[in-house]
Amino acid sequence: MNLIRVAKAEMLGVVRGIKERGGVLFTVCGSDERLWDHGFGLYYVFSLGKGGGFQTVATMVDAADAVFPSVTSVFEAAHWDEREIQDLLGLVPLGHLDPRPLVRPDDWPEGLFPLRKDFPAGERPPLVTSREYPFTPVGGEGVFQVPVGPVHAGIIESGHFRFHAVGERIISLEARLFYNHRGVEKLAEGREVEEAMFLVERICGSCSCSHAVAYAQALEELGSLQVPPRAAALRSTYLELERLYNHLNDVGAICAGTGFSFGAVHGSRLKEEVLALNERLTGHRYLFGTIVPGGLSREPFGLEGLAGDLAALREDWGETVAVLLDNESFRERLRDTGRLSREAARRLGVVGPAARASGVDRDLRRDHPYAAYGRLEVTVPVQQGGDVEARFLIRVKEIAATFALLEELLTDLPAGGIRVPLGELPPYTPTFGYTESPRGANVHFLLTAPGNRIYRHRVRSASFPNWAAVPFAVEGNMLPDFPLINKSFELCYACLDR
Amino acid sequence: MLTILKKRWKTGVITPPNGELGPKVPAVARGRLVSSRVTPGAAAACPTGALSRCGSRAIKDYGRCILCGNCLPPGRDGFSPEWLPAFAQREDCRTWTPPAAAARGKAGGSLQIRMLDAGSCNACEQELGALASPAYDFQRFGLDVVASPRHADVLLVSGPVTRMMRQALERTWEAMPAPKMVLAAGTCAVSGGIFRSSYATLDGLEGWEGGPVIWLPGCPPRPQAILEALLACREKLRGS
Repeated sequence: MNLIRVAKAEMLGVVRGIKERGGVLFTVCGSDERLWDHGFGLYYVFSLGKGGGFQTVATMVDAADAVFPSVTSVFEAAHWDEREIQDLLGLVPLGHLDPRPLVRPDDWPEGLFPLRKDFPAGERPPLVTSREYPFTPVGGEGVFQVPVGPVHAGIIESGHFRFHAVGERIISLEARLFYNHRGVEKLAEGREVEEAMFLVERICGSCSCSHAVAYAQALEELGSLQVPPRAAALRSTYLELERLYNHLNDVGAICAGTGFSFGAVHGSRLKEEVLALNERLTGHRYLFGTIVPGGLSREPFGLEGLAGDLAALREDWGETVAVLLDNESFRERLRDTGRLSREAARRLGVVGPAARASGVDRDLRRDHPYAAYGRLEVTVPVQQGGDVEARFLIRVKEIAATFALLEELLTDLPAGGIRVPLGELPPYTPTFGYTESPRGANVHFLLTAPGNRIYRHRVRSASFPNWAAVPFAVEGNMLPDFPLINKSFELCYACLDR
Repeated sequence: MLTILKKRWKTGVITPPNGELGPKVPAVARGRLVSSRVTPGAAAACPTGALSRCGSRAIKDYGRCILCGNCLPPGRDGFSPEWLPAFAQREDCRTWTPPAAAARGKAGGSLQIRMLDAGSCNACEQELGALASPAYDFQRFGLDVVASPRHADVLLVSGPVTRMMRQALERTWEAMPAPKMVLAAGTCAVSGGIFRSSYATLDGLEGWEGGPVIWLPGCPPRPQAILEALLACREKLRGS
């Protein structure tokens, strides 16, 4: 790992230098290191772009002086990361523009920080009546407040949206999320790294494989391991199948958001077909239990006939999407709706299809290859519109690219073993792993303890930076368009909340 | 318009006949753990405490099993494709007392569902969402997800019940008219699953005393299992 340790006071200067070199915030992790040092470790990881690798900047925050300079004046994208550190570790970011609580439950006692090592795992402070969350007040004549959630009208995860609208026009949206916060990172601590995988793949049901591979790669990086070529190729195969079912789902959901039932029904039908393929290959529709640190848990069950089934699916999808692309009234409905500017996408560190739809050309599979992507031709479509139509088109193009990748992977699947032993990992050494999930960069930052146990585990999924951007795309749109705009991002609450 | 009709014609009807809940389940599906295949002494390998440390019965509590296969020999072969049934009592998940076969696919009656995600990983939601797809089409059984608790007969809860969702769970339940019941869908909702004993969760509906609950373990329970459990709820409410 390319890591520099700097004093707290030098932090901002160093970070500014990285920004000037074109660095982009990748992940942030705070860790209670009072066990072997005098305070808390803070790690900021930056991506230096295609072929440029990564740069990690670490600093130490003294336990007696639990404050640190916020980097949000340089990298705004760190705003939620730093609020999370404040909530869970009790370190205060100085100069942060919005220091309200973010992650902790509304009834959580003051001064109790669950990710500190002196907070015992499994302890539950008594339940009390929740405090009112301090939403940003919006005033003015004719301004209505519309609260939505946390329980929603359909099959949707939990989260609260506070709209302020004049007539039907949304003038502000504040998303109060983290209703699904399960304390995953604390639950991981102390577990053996192999066992923690069962937790990791349940962070999110719809990008489970992306999480599992990112986590496994962090450990493999730490142990300087190379997984066998067959395992790498099969990991890429599973990751692309995951992208495929997610994108088919999302295209269907965008159609449903406009009331176009043809697209909605065919989207869900095709998604189901991919889930059935997943199950035939691995025994699990969402690929749980497939990835292990060091490779794969087992050979796939039924690779025979897979290429043929995918070819049939590709043709089926081609016929379906031709109808969608040809339908001008549908396209018209998506155009100019929920526009996220390129400037905002860059500033907020938006990732994945949402970034590529706003003209930000980034994809980890191409820029920092992992698994088998280094030897594959990864096509990265980019759109400039930044609206729902652009996010729809990005997915349509990525589905085509994924079918091509799968074909390439399956025609040339290397033979050989699928797993190597992990061995003894060096303790207290920072490491990270990442994948480009169907929603974008998914980063797992780890520190292990002796005996291959987790000491600290931070998960920053694609939904983390992207959720903060949704309100920017919504402002100025009509209230009834919110479900459509939200579906065009199709973010995960479970991934974000952990 | 013509292209839409053409595609519709070509696709045909994919929904299975009324007696069947959904598509055929492949033999390799991870439906339930086969007790006899569990490695002796594997209790320590279980991340959720579903296995017993002694005695003849390897599986202590199906309500805690997340079907990870860590207790199985390398390769993790030892699952049967049959899905876990819904249990009438939490205790039945331990004693393995499945309810009498539900009226599968029987026509008549309806059931309105309110969905509440109490911290799920999203897999249970996706399986419930799949029920609306033409491969399962739960509306053919008179089932539907409604937009208000006032219209609901059954509250479908997924996830380990987070601290932040506790109040929403109580209020949703209070808002529903009687007769009503809860379906704890998935191992998390039954016992907290892998998220048990966290500072931020409440171990599923295990300690909840608000009303009658049907318990459906699974990680996630497949759409057929959710559908079967919902039909069992329909029968139960019809009897009340």
